[in-house]
Amino acid sequence: MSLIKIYVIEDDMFYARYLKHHLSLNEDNEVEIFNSGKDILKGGLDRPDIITLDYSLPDIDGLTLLSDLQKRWKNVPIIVISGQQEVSTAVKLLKKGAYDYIVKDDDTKDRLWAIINRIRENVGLRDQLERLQAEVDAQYDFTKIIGNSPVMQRIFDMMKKGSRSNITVSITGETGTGKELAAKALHYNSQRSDKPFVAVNIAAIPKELIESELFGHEKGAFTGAVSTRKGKFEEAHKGTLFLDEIGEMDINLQSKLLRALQEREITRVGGNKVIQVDVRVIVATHRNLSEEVKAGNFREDLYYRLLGLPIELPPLRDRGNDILLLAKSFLENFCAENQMGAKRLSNAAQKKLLNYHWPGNVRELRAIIELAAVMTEGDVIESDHVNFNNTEEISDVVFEEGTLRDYTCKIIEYFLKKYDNNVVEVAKRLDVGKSTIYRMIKNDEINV
Amino acid sequence: MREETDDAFVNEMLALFVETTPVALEEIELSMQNNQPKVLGDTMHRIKSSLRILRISNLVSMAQELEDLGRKEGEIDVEKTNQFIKILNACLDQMREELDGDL
Repeated sequence: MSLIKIYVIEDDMFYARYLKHHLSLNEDNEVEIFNSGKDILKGGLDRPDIITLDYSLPDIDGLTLLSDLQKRWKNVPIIVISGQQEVSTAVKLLKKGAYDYIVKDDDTKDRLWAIINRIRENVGLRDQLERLQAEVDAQYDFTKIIGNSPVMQRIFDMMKKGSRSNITVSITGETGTGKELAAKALHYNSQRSDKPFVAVNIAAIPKELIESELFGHEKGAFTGAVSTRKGKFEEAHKGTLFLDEIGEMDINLQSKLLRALQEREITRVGGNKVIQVDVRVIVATHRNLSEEVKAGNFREDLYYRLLGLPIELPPLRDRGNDILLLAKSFLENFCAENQMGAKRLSNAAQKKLLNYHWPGNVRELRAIIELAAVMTEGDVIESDHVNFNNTEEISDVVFEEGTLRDYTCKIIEYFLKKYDNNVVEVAKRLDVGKSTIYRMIKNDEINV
Repeated sequence: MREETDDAFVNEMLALFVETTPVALEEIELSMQNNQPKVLGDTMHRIKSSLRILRISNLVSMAQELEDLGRKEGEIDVEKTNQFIKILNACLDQMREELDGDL
């Protein structure tokens, strides 16, 4: 465990020395003595982990100094040590936020020792929590999300605006475009970032369980409800609730969701008590909800309630060079996490990535890069190491905009590859002259 | 963790007590001369914790009584205070001897 810095504020030099000696028996405690309120309030001191404060100092009263120290070092536990065994003083100090109150008697040092050990454990947990929080903040910082393409810059701009308020955000986009990542970025850059982010994938939960999952249930509400359980709305209180695949929600449950959003209150399944909830809602779907409304599968009132700030995440194929930026980032992270040497993408591999249509979007890119990293022996990932999961379909060759001539070339290329460059066979199947194909090959319009 | 029994530390504490207590004794005498029971009570309060650490139990209980009396701002118990000073001085002499013997 790391060193714990303890400031002992005690005007009695004898007692201060005694405490310092006793606390320093644990070599992980770094103890510093201050003989007056003035000494501790002077500038330039590091933040301590624990303070012990003598209640009766000659230059400042204990209550005032407690308050000044709390303002200066927020959340540092302050243990007040006093010669007076007065309950009213103890209560007053504890109400003001003192961590504990000890009377100077024969047991002082043992009690102090026990309290400090307890704090040490909490400090360890607090450090761990702060480290994890910092990692999460860094991970979802808008500036750290990869995307230089104009379309992504516009998305980031909207997300920044969305994170400043509690407006409901509806995220749409093809599968694998990063809808949950966008929702987390909105949450972790908002005022609610230190409160829970709770994600629910509506499509992944059986229809009959969703109500209980979202709103909780009381004991005995249904067979199997052996105890009372909070739902996701309650779990996300003061934080953000992310409802993924909202388009899959059963229409009968949609009215209950609408009520929860409008009234900001819920009732557990099988319960009567109305529970207030303060939740910011972000929804996502790969469906076109307005079409679902027209088809009668989604309530119109809920649709408008959820629309809020609409953010449409672009498919990866429309993000140009972002493909390479993301690929390089995935490659670096994967190699580092797996203790592999650094690898890079050859020009041919980069070209291959840029020419693919990415039906699985960013998720697919990550999988392909990780596989390529595993398959590559050396430090350069060549074009052959990049293997797409989808077998090439004829529709793939026309995903990019082009002229009829471009499409003709690509279609003939596709069939030549399929029939082992058998020009006669391809000419027959496409009902085109053999000489036309030979001419295109000769003019380098087609790569064979 | 280090061992708590530490002769050097005990000697250091004795020396510190011998060095700082005469100031407290002076304050006690002055408070008697000037009839300042509150000052006497405050000084007794301060010295009490040192006496407790050194386990001089009879002086701890006397200091507590004199502190309580002083805090109430009642009349100073001169006889008891003088007795306290006498015993404390005797303790200090004994400590000085022990410290000199160790040197």
